[in-house]
Amino acid sequence: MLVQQVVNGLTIGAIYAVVALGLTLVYGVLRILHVAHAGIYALGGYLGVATYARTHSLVLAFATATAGSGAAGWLVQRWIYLPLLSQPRIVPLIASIGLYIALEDLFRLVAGPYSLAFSARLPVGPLTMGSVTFTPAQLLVAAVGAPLLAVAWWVLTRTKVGLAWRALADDPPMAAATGVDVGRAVGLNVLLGSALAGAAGVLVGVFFNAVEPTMGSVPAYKGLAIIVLGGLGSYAGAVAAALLLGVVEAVAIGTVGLLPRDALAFLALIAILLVRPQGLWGRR
Amino acid sequence: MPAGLGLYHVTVAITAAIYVILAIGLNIIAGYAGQPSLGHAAFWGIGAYAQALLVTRGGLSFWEALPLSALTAGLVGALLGAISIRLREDFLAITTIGINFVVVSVFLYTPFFGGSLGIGGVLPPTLGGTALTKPAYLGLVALVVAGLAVLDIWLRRTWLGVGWTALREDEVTAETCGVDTRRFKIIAFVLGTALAGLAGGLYAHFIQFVEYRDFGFPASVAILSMVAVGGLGTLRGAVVGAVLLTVLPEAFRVVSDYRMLLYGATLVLVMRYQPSGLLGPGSWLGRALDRRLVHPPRRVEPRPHLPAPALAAGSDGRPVLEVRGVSKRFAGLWAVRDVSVEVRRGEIVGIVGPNGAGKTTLFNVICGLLPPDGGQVLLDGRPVHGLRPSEIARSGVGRTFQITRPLAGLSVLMNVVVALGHAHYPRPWRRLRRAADPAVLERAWAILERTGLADHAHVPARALPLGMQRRLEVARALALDPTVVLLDEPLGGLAAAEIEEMVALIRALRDEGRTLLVVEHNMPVAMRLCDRMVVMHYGEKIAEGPPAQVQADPRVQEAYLGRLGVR
Amino acid sequence: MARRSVLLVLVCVGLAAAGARAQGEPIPIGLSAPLTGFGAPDGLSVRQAVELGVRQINAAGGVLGRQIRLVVYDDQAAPPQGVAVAQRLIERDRVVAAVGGSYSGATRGAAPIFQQNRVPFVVGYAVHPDITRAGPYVFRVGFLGPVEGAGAAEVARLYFNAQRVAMLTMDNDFGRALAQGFRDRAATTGLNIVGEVIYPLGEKDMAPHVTRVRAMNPDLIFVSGLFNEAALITRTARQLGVRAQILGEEGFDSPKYLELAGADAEGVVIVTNLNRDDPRAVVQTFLRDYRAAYKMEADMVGASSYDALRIIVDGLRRAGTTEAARLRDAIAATRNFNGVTGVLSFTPQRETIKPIQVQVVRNGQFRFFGVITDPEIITPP
Repeated sequence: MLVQQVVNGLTIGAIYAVVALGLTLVYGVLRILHVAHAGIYALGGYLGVATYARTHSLVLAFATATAGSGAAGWLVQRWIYLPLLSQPRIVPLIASIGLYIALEDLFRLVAGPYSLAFSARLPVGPLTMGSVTFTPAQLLVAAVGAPLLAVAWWVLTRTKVGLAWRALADDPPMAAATGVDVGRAVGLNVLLGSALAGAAGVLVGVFFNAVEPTMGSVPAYKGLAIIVLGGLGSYAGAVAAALLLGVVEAVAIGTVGLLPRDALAFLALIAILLVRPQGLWGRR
Repeated sequence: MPAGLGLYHVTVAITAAIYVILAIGLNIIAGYAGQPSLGHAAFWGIGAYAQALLVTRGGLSFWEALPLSALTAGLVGALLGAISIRLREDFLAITTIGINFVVVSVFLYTPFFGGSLGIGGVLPPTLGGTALTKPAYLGLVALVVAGLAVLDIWLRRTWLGVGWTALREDEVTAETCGVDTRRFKIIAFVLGTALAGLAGGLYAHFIQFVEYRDFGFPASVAILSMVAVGGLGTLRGAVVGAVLLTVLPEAFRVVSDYRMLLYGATLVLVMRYQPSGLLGPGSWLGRALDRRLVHPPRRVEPRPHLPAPALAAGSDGRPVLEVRGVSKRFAGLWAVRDVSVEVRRGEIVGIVGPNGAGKTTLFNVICGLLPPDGGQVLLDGRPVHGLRPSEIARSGVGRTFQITRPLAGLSVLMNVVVALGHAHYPRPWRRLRRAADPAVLERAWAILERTGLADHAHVPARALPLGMQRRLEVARALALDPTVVLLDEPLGGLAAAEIEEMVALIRALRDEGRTLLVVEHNMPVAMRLCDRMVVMHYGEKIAEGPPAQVQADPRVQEAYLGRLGVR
Repeated sequence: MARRSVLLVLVCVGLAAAGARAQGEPIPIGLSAPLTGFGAPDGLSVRQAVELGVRQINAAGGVLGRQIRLVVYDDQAAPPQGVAVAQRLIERDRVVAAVGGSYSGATRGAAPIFQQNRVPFVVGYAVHPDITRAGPYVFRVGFLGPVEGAGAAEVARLYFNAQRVAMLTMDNDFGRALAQGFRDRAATTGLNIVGEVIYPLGEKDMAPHVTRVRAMNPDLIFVSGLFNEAALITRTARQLGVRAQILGEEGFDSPKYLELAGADAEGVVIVTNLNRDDPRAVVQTFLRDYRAAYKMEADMVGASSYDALRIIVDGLRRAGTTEAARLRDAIAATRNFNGVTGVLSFTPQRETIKPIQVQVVRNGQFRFFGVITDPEIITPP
């Protein structure tokens, strides 16, 4: 059972990771707790389910979701975040929360309050190895999540724009002084982070066979907890923390039973912060 | 009761009043003290559950239970305050989000709290044998709100309120002005959360049962939104925001399908176009109100004979400040290594050296912003290393920053008043005295006159040009009535005329018996100004002595190679 | 969708106005439902079903020679909103009675208000035991959790002869009450429960919980949950290779469950109070009209609230007046009422007695499987 729970946990952790990586990207360059990321993620789910219903193509569903969410994220940073950068940090945070609330209700008004089924036909059946079963949805998460993370990783570490983001995250004035086009770098960054969120929305829609207005409510705060655990702004930290949290949750539920899942994530977070105020993998 | 006002209006009014109390509490934490809190509803819940338990199982009356409920929430709030000290802004914000989930889970998973059924049977309170039903209960809640408004206005004017504002504007500056930011934070959390607990007690008797679901993260977001939409950091903003966001959704019941959309959109639009809230200090309406209602304290002409400084003039040769073998390391590199300096009363000592020599680090160690990795700092023979910066400031060490750190949102006058609080902060009850009383204002004006800032007293510090900001740094340090003043590049970026004024001011300070340590890059001026110079290079002291002697030192010339000649 | 509901309101208002001209003032009846927020899906079902009921009644000539005017407010499933809505319905809209179409929190806040103002309040499906304890003006159409749980335990024994039963319980008042009833009944009939897994409300990732249940190796799993959770559990169980019989409850009773769980739902059996194959005209008319009006299938929360409305109207008819005390007495005297959710009566505690329906999912639809009428089980404690 333990191995099965680890597999379960890694799957959900991988989904957390795609959401959290996008979130920490945005945090890195804007220093904004981007709660509306969860709305952009739900937007991806809706775009994906709508595309799939018309075309029955998962590839197209992922394509529209990443493109649509990416564009939406870009607009948000242009219209809301950039003008608010000089304000106290709580201002963009509340704007972000407001945007999330509005998006959630917009989805309800446009698509109805009920969950939409995302019954994608997956080309594989369950894969059983000994006592461990990989469900088709779990296989899909592995098949999509891993390459997504790999591509994001490549962009972050091997491309010029990735370097620019890291420079911006470390020292914005210095980055600007050394010739980084800040506006363009920030825009691209949020674009990529939001595209990741859109892809995660489709993944979750298929994984749970449901796209619903409130699908972002858990990622909205759990994503924040994860990027804090990982050390705000650290990419590897966010991914590691997401996988770790997924596995710990699944194994703990498997061995202990009923657990206040979210409360435990946050209790762990508070305990860790008291010992390491910079997060698990954060630099001071 | 006026015609047309029925129990429905009373119900909405009670709900609004309870939210006003919550908003006033949160405004103390997030508005006055500037600590982000997304967990306010948790304390509301703690108060509500405490009240419900105390009256249904403890057998207490409403009146007996209410203070205890507020106290319970305040005690848990103290815990959060203690945590907040260790965490920087964003970490704290997310921790407070977590508080919601932890507290709600405790209610849900502890059978003692009724689990998912909550606690029912909380009856309306009685007064003199009669039950306070809805209209009377509104009267009670309104009285509480009025009392809290008065309390809030009064607190804002005390040293406590002034300290909070300083903390909100800049924690480091506040500490160097003698404000013990840790205590001020904890007090803000205790007070704010106790008010939330009070609101919880009132709420329990209003709804007559308590249920974990009402006190989660969404409720915290709702309360914070009220304060932010109204105007963070102002009482009027908290009150108006809470009333607006409670009453508007009721008024718009007709379009109830779009309520949440409108609510979210309102938050975005207000933050985007009136970031300080509808009635906040920087908002359109807020500024108009302030112009009409707020009259800045009038200029006080200092009396001809101010009490003479308690310092004996002139140098008596006694060491005031001793730095003994101080070291500071960053990531394996020595920023300051085994530096010893002895400063005698009434001296002006220059600390010079190339960029990165460790001069500012040495200052930060002396004034307590950085703990030394080794060595001692003694003030009047008493060790001060390891003390809080605010304690060191209060024991008579003032400092200025190379990159000026004004309390940007406060007026120039209030910047000085903050530092004048040094005598009051360590004694809790004296923090509750009115800050800007005539005696304090007189001293503040005197300092402004002396530093040439009197004509700009009511200008927000952020609007000052650099030269004025440098003087404000000195003025603030001076308000501590310091024996030692650390000046970090006081002449940096100044025009020639301003330099001369600053030099004269520094000399005057020395002449009234204060001791000055000056980091300065402008070598010709430094050599003219200083009695003695200490030269640092790569974190180590390489020379010390009168300017002429130091200048002739071959090691100094080597370190500076060319620089002395150029500058 | 929004445009459609506006249209519906207009139609209602139009009908009501037409009636008013002919027969005098329409009778105002209130409805409180979670139209926004996390309960929005159920809120919409409730609103649609009750509005359908009002249209049907008005089209048939109304009651007491007058039309019915429905006043609907959103309570977001939150207690303060429930209180404000109740107060507003009573005072501004002067309703003669109200349908409680919301969850326990808001309904629990509203019940004492209706009681104090002596306005009959008939609750559709909220389960908290305190609701009807508010006083003699508050009634409940839905089952109490323990009754339905006991019914489920009876199904496990009677229809499936289950030897190893596992429970997968949702952690809220609803799930806990069901589980309690299930366990109590199992203890008296000797049903073997091998273990219980409790999952938090709103959980999406069911794999860890289902994996634990799988390890208990049950032949029947009693699952509580609302349709989202129910569908996730069903799918996850089948995907993880769990072949045991799944026994659900009224939370499953939604077309959304069938859609979300898809083929994995085949063979799942639930206890509920709506029998789709009930030959009675009232059931078939409701199902057909609902489908025609809204292009979707009706569900349990809608049917329960629809019945609550019709019980009020039936009470008005029998009382012959809108006067509160007599209307209340008439409602309290409801016996063998021909409701969509069964032929039902009220106990002196104003709880409902009606048969427990057992339905099975066959070809993507709920069909008749059995019924439990044993008074020992269906009479509320």
